[in-house]
Parts: sequence; structure tokens; C-alpha cells
Amino acid sequence: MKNFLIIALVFVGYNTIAQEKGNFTFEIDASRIHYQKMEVYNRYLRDTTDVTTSHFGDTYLKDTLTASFLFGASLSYQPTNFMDFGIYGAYQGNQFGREYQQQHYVGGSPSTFILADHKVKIANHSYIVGISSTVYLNRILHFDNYESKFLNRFQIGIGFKVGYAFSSIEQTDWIEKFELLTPGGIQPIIKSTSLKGSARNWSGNIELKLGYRFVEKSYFSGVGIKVGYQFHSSSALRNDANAAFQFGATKEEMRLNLSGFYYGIYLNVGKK
Amino acid sequence: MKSYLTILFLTILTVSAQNKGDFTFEIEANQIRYNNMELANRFLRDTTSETSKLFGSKYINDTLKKSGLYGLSLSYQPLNFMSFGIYGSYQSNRFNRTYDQVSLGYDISMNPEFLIGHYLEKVTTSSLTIGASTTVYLNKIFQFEKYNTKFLQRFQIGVGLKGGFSLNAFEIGNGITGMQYITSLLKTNDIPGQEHMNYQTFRSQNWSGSIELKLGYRIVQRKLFSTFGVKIGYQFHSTPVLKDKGDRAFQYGATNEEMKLNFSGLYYGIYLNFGK
Repeated sequence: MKNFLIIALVFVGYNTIAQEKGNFTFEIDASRIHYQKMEVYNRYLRDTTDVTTSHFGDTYLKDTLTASFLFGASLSYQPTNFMDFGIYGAYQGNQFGREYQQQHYVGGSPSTFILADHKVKIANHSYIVGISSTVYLNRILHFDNYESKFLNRFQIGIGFKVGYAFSSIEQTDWIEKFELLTPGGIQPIIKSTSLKGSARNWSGNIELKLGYRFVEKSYFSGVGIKVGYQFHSSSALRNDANAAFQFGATKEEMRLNLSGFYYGIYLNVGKK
Repeated sequence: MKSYLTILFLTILTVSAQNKGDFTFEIEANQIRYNNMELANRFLRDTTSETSKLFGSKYINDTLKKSGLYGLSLSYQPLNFMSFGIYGSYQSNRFNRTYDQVSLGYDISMNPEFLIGHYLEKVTTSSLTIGASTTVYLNKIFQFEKYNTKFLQRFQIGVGLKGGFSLNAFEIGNGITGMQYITSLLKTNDIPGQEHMNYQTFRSQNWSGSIELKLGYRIVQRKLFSTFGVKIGYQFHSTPVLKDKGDRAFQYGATNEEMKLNFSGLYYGIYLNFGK
């Protein structure tokens, strides 16, 4: 409730100021990001020394997280014609699947064993909320003074974003089906279990945007492409018992480094 | 794929809005009082499982009966008395239950020693709903703007209907937050590196809906407007049996009862919107 009131207060102030002058712009974007420093996560994906991962064999040795989709939405206000300020949210996530077979001792007398088909899902997610600003070079360089319709509607912007990121990892292991190896043995109780870790950190982006306004009435709509770099490195991911998410023979602590170059498309709508 | 469909839908919505009508963006915060959470509450108070036996009577009063319900929506008003839009809402609760247990262990020289384990059970329920909404503005139908009173001109009465698809989760985390061994009477030493946590997550999906009455006031009235208001409504939201990745239901208690969550209930709260 406290968070909502703070957001609401900022929102009211923001909108009240916006009554005086300037434009609102709502933007959605979809980008492809290439991660530069995913070594720790990739070591974890290829690790075969853990209790679970030792069963994978060499089937998943080539698994690598090098690229991902990055989705975002923002709402910005333009108090001067060459600059806007706004709030934004972004999401990026990936998942990997694993399969393996393992024999389990269930108990009972005589001893019951099962041969289980396991599935494993490894997923990482990162949500970011923050503030953004774009400087419009087409305004500073007065593209609107040219007689060319194309240049009038052309948009070049340099964007900056600073946000707070919530990153997490989850490894879930479950038995899809099993075969009773001991005829007449007891039925096992089967559970799906997960290991988790999460962390919070500051992140930032710098990007170049090239857009074109294809509708120019009382509202406008623009579509464009963008290229940028995301700075996003987390601390060690921890669970609710404050234990780090560890893997491998050396109990390495998991950190997500989602920094990297990205490129994509954006679509915006606003009031002139 | 879901993300692409969302983007496509938003694109159609934004492009169609170029021609006529208004956009409204709304955020809201409510408190909902659940009417039928008996199954979750029976689980929270269950004392037949091995873990809950260790709680003793400490958590016998744990009850899930209310929650924060947060939402936001983007709507388009093709007629002056009616709007249509998309919305998302979220509600979540968690219970942290702790207990300590003394057990017998052995040190490195195989001498017996008493260990004290600090255990944590974390129970979380959550539901995320995405759907379509519509609001009928009674102040427009009854033409409140024709009255000379500034208050009535700015007053907003709406009846809202929402229908959405809900993704629900019930999660139990069990783990150790610390462990010590007893060195002598009233003296303990920490054993580092014992902290760990395992989670079990059960999910379900269902359609849900709500009906609400909104009373608002336009606090700013220029080219753009901002409205602040209160709302009261009822949410219809009952889940099927929650299951894990292996398609197995969460069962509890001596009778192995299957878990369902019923998020239905009366809610009331505040909202804030702005638009052109």
C-alpha cells in the first residue's frame, strides 16, 4: 500500500505538471540482446559435477546462454521539445530443459526400486523498473525546418535509462513417469522440487533510436529501430534462507551478468 | 509467443486510437476479503503433517482471509459513455513459519553432540490475471456535465466489468536458516554453510471475472485529465486443483485433501487514472 501511494503521488504530480504543456508518449519495444559476460551462468549450464547434473552425461555440454529477447514499455513526458523524461519497465527471461533417467530406492520390505524419467527446467528472469530520458537530435538540429516530409517526420534520439532490477533463477526437477522395478513393491510418493535464488541490483542503458512518424494527426505514431548497451550485473543470488545458489564441485555462487549490446524495434504513440 | 500477441494487441489498440476517442490509463490498489478460502486455511492450520507437528500451536491462528489486490489498465473510449480495454491484476500472500529442532549428531571425531536447527516453512499464494474490461459511465448517460455544479460536472460514476485469464500458484518452501551445536550448558557455536531451501510449486489456470462500482472525481480538467476515485466490487475467481510440473496435485492433511484456491470475494480500494 505504501508503495502504491508513493507511485500514485508521483503519478499525480507528473500528470498535473503535464497539463501545462508538453506531450505524453507511450512506447513498447522488443529487442534482441547479446550477453557479453555470462560465464558463470554458462559454467552452471554445462556443469556435470553436481548431484543432479552428474546424471545429464554430456548431452547438454553445449548449452549456452548468449542471447535473449528483451521487452520493454515506457511512459514519458516531454517538457521541452528536444528532451523527454519517463518511467519504464523491462523484462528478459530464458529457460532450458533437461531430461535424465535415474534409479531410486523407495523403501519397503522387500526393498522397492523405481526407474524414473526426470525432467529439469532451468529458468532465469529479470524485471527492471526505472526512469528514462531521451534527447532528440532531430529537434536540436531542426529537422522540422526542412521541406522534406521524410526529414520532418524522422526522429533521432539518444536514450538513457536507470533502473532497479529484480533477477532470479529457478531449477525445478520432477519425475515425468516411472517404472516399478520391484513387482508388487510400494508406490512411491513423488514430489517436484525447486532450488531458487534471487538478487536485486541497479542497471542502466544507453541507446540510439532512429524512428519515423507514420501517423501525424492530433495523435502521432512512430515506429523505429534502436541499438544500445545494457549494464546489468547482479550480486550472488540467494534464497529465503539467505543461502547462495551454488553449483559445481567448488560450490560456485551464481551471479547473473545480463550486460550486453541489443538491437530491436519500437513503437510509440503520443499526443501532439 | 504470448509477448508477441500482447505487442500486436497493443499495436492495434494504439493505431485504432488515432482516429477518434480517448485513452485512459488507470492504476488501482484494493483490499480484497476472501469468502471461500477454507481449503488453504485448513492447510495452514493442519497439525497432522510431520512439519506442522513441530509448529505446536504457534501458527494455529494463521488464516488467509484478505489480501492486497493491485491492477492497471489501458482503455479506449469509442463512445462517450463506454470504454473498452485490457487490464492486469495481481494478488499475493505469504506466511513465514519457523521452528527449532534439537537433534543428535556426531562431531568430526565421532563424538555425539546435540544440534539445534532453525527451520523455515514459507507458504506463498499468488494470482496474476490478464484480461479485457469495460466500463459504462452513468454520469455520461445521465448527462451530469449539463448541470451547473462544478462538482457534478467533474463527478464520475462507472459500472465496470472485467473478464480475464488467471495464472495461480501455491508454493511451499522448506529449509534451514541456521544450525548450531551445543558446546556446554547455554553455550552454542554456529555451524556455517548449513543454510538451504527447497521449494515445491503447484499451479493452475482458470477464467475469472469481476464487477465493480467506481466513484471518481476529475482533479485536473484540461486537455488531459486526472481522476481519483474509490471503487467497490466483487471478484469471481475459483481455481481448479493446483498441480506441480509432474501433474501431481498438492495434497495435505490426514485425508490427503487436494488444494484449490478460491480468490473470490468483495474488494474495495482507490484508483487513479489519466487520459486525454
